[in-house]
Amino acid sequence: MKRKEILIIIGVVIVCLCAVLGMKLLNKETDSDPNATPKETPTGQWVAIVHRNGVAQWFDSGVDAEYTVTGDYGEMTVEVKDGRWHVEHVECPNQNCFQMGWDDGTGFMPITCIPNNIFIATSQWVEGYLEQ
Amino acid sequence: MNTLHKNRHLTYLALLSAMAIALNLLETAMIPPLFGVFRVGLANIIALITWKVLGVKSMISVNLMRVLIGSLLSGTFLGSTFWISLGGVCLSTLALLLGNMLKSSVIFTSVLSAIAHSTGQVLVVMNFYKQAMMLTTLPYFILLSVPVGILTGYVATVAIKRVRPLQ
Repeated sequence: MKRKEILIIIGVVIVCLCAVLGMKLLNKETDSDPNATPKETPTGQWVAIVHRNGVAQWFDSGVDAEYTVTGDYGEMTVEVKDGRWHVEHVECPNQNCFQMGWDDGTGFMPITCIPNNIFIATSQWVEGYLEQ
Repeated sequence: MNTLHKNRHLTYLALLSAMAIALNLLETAMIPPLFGVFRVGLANIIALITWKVLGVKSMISVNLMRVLIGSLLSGTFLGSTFWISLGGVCLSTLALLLGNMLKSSVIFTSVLSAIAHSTGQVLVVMNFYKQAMMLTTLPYFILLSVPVGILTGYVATVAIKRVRPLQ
């Protein structure tokens, strides 16, 4: 084999190795799927605010806080307190989700706002739902 | 070309084609693919020998016969496997032609041909199944094609030394 030919083969191998490494790095970045349950251990349990079949916000039910997300109709504010959560304020005509009150994940169905296309449910429920 | 030479050429062509088909079928039946998908391509050795012994035109004939008769014998004619093989063989033949034009060494041409073979197969699979993501497997296939190409090229070089050219 000529020297030039060896150099070409080495060049091709280097380009391919770079492509393989690049793909590996890209895969690592895309591994952080927003719909997947966070890997950190929560104080309470992981709960998701799901909008249009995608998780808009994950929160730890053991950490008291307020979260605001935007749905199809308007904004929704969720309050988390003492391991429970409820809709504190929502921009929608029927206010059903507000009237559903507090939830701790043991309820028959998650808090749902149909006009906004939003529901708030625990990670187990969300994973099962998104898999479907 | 006199009759004797013509007959000898045809005999060599028939023998080499038969060898290529036999190697192709034997490899499919007896040697499991590397990593479940990658075949060594032993028949490529015969393509390289044909290129050096009988010339480019005969090499194209051997390659085409290898796919056509090989698929007829294995019962995959006009099936997806046939088109994938044909895609690989067409591109590898083009690579051999390029090697011939550039007057490159047998081993380098073999590496080129192995890379082209993998590329052709991936492109056909990509179009066949409408899976553009198949292209991401190409670097892996090319990385495997390089040592395989060197190996087949080396075997072909050793074999060519023992066969008198007929061109």
